[in-house]
Amino acid sequence: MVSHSAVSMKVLVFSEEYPPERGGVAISTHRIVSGLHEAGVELAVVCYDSSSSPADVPHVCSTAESEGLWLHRVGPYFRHRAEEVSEEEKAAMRRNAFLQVRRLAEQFRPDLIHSIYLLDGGFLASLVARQLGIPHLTSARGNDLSRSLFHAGRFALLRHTVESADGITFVSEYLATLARTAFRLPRIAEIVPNGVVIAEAPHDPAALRTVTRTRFAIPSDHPVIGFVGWARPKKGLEDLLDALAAVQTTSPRLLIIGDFIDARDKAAFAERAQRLGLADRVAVTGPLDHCRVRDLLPALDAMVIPSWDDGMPNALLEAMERGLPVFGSDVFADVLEHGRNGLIFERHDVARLTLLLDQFLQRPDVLTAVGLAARQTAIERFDYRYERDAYLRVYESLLSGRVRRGREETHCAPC
Amino acid sequence: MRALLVPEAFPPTRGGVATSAARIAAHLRQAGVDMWVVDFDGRAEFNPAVSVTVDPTREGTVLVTPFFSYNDRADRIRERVKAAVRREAALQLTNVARSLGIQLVHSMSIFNAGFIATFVAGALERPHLLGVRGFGRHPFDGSHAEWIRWVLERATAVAVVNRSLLELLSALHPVVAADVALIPNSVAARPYPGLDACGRDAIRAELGFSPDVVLITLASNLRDKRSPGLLLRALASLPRFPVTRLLIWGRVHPGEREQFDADLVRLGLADRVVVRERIPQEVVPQWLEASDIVVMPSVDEGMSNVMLEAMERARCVVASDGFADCLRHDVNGILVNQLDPSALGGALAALVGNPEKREALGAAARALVLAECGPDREAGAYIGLYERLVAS
Repeated sequence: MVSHSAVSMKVLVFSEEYPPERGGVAISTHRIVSGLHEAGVELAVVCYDSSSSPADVPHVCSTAESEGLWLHRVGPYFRHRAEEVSEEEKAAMRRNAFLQVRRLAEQFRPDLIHSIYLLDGGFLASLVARQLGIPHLTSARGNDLSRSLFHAGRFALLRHTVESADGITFVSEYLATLARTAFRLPRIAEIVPNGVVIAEAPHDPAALRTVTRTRFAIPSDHPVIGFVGWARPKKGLEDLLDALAAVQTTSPRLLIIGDFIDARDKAAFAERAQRLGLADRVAVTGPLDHCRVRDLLPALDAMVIPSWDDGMPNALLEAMERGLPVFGSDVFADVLEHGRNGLIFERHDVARLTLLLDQFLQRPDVLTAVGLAARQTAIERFDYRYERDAYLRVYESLLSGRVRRGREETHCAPC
Repeated sequence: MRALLVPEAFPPTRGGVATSAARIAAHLRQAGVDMWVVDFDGRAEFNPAVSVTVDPTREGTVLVTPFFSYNDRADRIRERVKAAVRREAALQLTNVARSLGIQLVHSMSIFNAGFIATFVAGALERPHLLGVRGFGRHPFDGSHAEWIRWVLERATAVAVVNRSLLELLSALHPVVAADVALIPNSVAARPYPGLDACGRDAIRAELGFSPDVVLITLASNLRDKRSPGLLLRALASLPRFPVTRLLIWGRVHPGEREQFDADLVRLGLADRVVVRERIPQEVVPQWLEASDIVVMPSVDEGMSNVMLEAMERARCVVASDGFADCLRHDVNGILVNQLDPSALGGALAALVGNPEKREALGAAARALVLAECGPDREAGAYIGLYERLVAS
C-alpha cells in the first residue's frame, strides 16, 4: 500500500447514492469514503435525500458521521421517480440542488470535488467546481455512462460532464472504451476498479455451505447458482434462464439474491421461467441488506453474472473474495480469466453459457480451484486499499496540476 | 472497397429514406463497391432484446431486429428502453462490422442511424460519412440538439441532399457546413408515357372520381412537417369549377388524425379528399401519371423521391420553396412560400384551369430530371467521396 501520511486534503464527494440506500453506487461510495477517511482525508459527502418527495421544499439534512466526515443529504430530488417528473420539474430540481451544493462547498472549502456517478451528480459537481475554481474528478460507474450515452434526454448533460471534468475514472475497461469512442476525455483519465474488503477465508466451505442452506431452507440435492443485485434487463437474466433450461447434466437451481426494480421486468421474468418449465427452480429473495447478501453467498455453488452491459458489480468482487467461482460474460474480461479465476462466455452467447454450466456444475473440484484462484485475484488486485490509493494518486495529480496552472496564471496576470 | 450503409429504414419498410438507401446500395454495388446495408427492423414485434446478425436471406444485409423506429411504437416506448436498445445495436453492430472488414461507414439520417453509425465508426476507427436527409424538428428539440451537434462534429464527412439543408446546417454548425458535399437524390428514367387514357380513367374510377376532375396528389405520409392544415385550407379556397379532388397517398399520423378530420368537416372538404394509406410500389409511376398536379408543401424536407418521380413522369409539381434545388419557378414547376396557404391556393387555382401550362411545366420537369438527376451521377458522387475518405 502507498503511504499517505502526508494526506491533508479536503474533498467534497458528491455521490448519487449513499447507504442506507441499496445498490452498487451506495456500497462503493461508502467503501471509498471510508478508505479515504482512514487515510486522513477530510471529507464532506453530499448525496440526495432519498426519503424526500418531489413536492418537498428544498432542504439539506447534515450530520457529522465522525470527526472529519460530514454527510449532507440534499432534497428534494427525482432520482427514484424520474419517470413521474416532467423535464421542467427536473431542471428546477437540478438548479436547486446545484445552489444547495454550491453553498455547502463554499462553507467546506474543499481542495477538489469528486463526483461518483456522472448524472446528475457529476453534472452538478462540474458546475460547482467551476464556480469555486477547483478541480473536478468524476467517476463513471455503469449506467450513468453506458445508458446515458444512448439516451436522448441525458446526452447533453453527459457530454458536458465528461468533457468539462479535470479528471475521469472508470471502474472497467469496457466503460473506458465506450467513453473514448464517444468523447474527448480529460487529460487525467484512468481505470480505477472497485475494491473489496478482504476478510479471513472460510475454514470449512463445505460445512458452511450445508449450514447456510439449512439456515435459509435451500435444498441441497441440486447445484445452486446465484445472481446478486438489482435484476434489470441489461443483466442478461433472460439468457441465464434459457441456459438453465438447456442444461442436461444437472438440474441447477437459481437463487436471485436481490429483486427487480421494475415490476414489468419481474413479470416478464416469471413468465419466461414458467414457459421454460423453471418456475420451481427459481427463487427471488427480495431486497436484502448488504450484510445479509454476504451471509447467503456460502450457500451457492457458483455465481452467474451474464450481463450485456455493466460496470464492475460489487457482487462480482465479493463473490471472488469469498472464493466463489463466477460464470461471467466477457464484459468482465478485465477481471476474470477463463479457466483460471473464472468462467467466461461472450455476452448473449446462451449456448456457450449452457455448455459451461453443463461442464462444470458437476465438477466441484474445478469449481473449488477456480474459486480459490478468484479469491487470490481479489487479494492481489482488488483489496479496497488499492482502490483508495489509486484515488489518492489521482487527487494528487489533479491538485499538482492546479498548482501549475495557478503559477502560470500568476505570471500572466500583471500583464 | 467495402462499405457499411446505415440507413434509418430499408425495404421492405417504406418511405423516402428506405427508397433512397435501396437505390444507392444497388447502384454502388453495380459500380463494384462491396456494400453491406443495415436494416433496422421496425416490422417485428418489439422487445428490448435486440440482435444484430448477417441476414442469411438477403444479399449483403445486416439485420438489427427488433427495432423501434419508423412506426408509431417509437412514441410509446420509454426513452430508457430505447437507450438500451441503441446501445445493444451499436455494440453488436460494431462486432459484425469488424468481422466483415468494413472500411467505411455511411449513415443516412441523423436519428437513430447517424448516431449509431458514429459510435460504430468511432469504435472501428473508420471514416464515417454522415448523410443528412432532413433535420426534422431535432435542432429545435432540447433533448436532441446536442446529439445533432455531436453526430455532426464526429463525422469524417457530411453529405446533404439539397441546398436548403445546407443553409440550415450553416446556421446550426458553420464549421461543419463549410465542408459539406451536396449530393442530390436521383431517379431512374422510364419510357413515357407509361399510362394510356383507359389506365388513367381506371385509376380515377378506383378512387371514385370521374375522368374529368383535376386530380391533385399529395404523395407522402401526413406528419406535421407536411402541413396538412395548410394544404386543406388551400384546397378549400379553389373555385368550384373545374372540379378538383385531392388524393392523399400516405398515412395520416395518429397525432394528426383528429385535427385532420375536423379540418375536413370545417372546410367542407369531406367529399373532395381521399386518403389511401398504401399503394403498391410497382404501381407508383402509373398513379403519379394519373395525377394532374403533384403537390409538396413541406416545411422541412430533404429531397423528396416522390417529387423526382413525379417530375420524371412529366407531372406538374407545386412545392414549397425548400425544393428550389430542382424546381425552377414557372420553368419546370411552381414554387410557393412555405407556410403560406394563400400562396399555395393561388398557385393551384392558376393551374387547375390551365391544362396547357400544366403540360408544359411537366414536360420541362421531365427534361430536367433526365438531364441532371440520373442514378449514375448520384452513385459517382458517392464513390468519389468514399475513395477520398478511405484514402485519407
